[in-house]
Amino acid sequence: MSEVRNQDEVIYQVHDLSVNLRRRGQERVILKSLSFDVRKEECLSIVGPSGTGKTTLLRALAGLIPYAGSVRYLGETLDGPASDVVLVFQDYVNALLRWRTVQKNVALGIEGRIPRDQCQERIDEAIETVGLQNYRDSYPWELSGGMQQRVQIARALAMKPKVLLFDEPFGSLDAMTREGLQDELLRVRSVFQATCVFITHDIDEAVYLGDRLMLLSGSPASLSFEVDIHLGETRNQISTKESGEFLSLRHQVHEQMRKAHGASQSTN
Amino acid sequence: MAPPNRQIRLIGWIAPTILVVLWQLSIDIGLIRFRYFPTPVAVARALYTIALSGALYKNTAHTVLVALIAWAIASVLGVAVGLVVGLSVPLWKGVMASIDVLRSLPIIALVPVGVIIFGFTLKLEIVIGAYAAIWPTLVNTVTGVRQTRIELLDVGKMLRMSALERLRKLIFPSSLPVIMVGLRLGLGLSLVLTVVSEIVGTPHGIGNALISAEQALHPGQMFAYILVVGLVGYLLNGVFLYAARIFSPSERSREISR
Repeated sequence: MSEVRNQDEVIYQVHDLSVNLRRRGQERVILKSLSFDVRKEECLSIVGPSGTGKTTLLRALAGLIPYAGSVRYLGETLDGPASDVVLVFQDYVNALLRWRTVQKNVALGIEGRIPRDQCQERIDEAIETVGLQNYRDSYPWELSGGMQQRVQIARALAMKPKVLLFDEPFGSLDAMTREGLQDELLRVRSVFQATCVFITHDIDEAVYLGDRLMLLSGSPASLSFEVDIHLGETRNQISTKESGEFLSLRHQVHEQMRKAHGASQSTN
Repeated sequence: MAPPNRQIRLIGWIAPTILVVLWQLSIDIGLIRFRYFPTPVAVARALYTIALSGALYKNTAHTVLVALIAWAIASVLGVAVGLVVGLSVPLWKGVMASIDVLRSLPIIALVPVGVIIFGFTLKLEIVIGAYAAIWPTLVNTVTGVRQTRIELLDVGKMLRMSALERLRKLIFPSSLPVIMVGLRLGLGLSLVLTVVSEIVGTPHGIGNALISAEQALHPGQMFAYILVVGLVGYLLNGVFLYAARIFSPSERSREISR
């Protein structure tokens, strides 16, 4: 993996990261000895089968759980939620405040921290970016799943983060909505220059959205494969997904996933 | 939505009307022969009498006011203590068993204790009413806080909220529906126990009027006060629900989806 790199270009430096979690009194090793970098303004896709510990990895990057090894965010050891990093949760129903309107939900991370007019400006901008300007005063439970997830993304955008961590954000949405939101995410990323780490079990989604892809597999989970994705800035649900580059990447990742899965099964 | 609703309301009147008519008839034709069992007409007449004399207003105002004061004290204390207990795991483990034992004690059994301590005073009424109302409020507040979704707490951490911000913006509003149920139960209980301490001996209010009417052999007035206390309970509950609906729009969604 990457060795010496310009400090400015590295957002996260992860070295020998391990995470143990306690479940019903039993300590389990979830992640074992991961080392990787997250580079500035890239979208890093991390793909892996369900239950491998992808969410755990993201929660470690978010500073929400204790870990062993070293995680450096902008050169400094991470010991709690860093400023300028926002996690977009998969479970939008519980991540949104059902007693607040869309507008108030988006305000949650910035209200009272910046001047009021500036706050309103940012809220409006974020809401417009995700296309919810007609639903400002609606409550989350009045919106569809896809729209609710957009509210959560807008809430993250309003904070103007350097890093967006996505935890399978479109996992519980139907295929049509998911594709729409994937494209929206690409568009948002071209406007807001943020670094993204995107976690999913969907290989197509990982390839379509990523600039780089890593495969997480095994139990305890480790990184088993990494590949750069050169699909260009503008991507299209139909033509990009029909391109040779896309299909060959998809093929590679599938193969690697199967290989990793087979390996982990034979050790069991 | 309005027409079926109204229909249900009309249908709802049928059963009580039949019951009242049967009550009147069964006394008129001699089916029931208790000396002090009044007919609905006699109850209505008694109601008119006490309304005219001002006794009805005075007694009702007293009981409602005392019950509301007791309830307000219980609500503030119950929510405050409930928040503290719910937020602190060691405290919760330490006191929850005691709370469960205390709230299981029949409150009526404690009324004589209150009488010995306070005598038949206004204080007795308020303390008994508040004591009754505090338990559901306290227990529901603890439950509500403990039920806060872990995802929501993660949001708070992710947005780097302070502990106070998390309480004010996440934990409290998310447990509010459960707290409201506790407050509503508490309101009913504080009314009941206020009336009980009046029946036992406090010389004011509906409970006192009820027992006086009994001792003066005025069954009509007795039943009139029973009717009034039921109506007061019903109205307090209605006002509470109405206020709750205004203040928390998200709760309306549940009714709609139901």
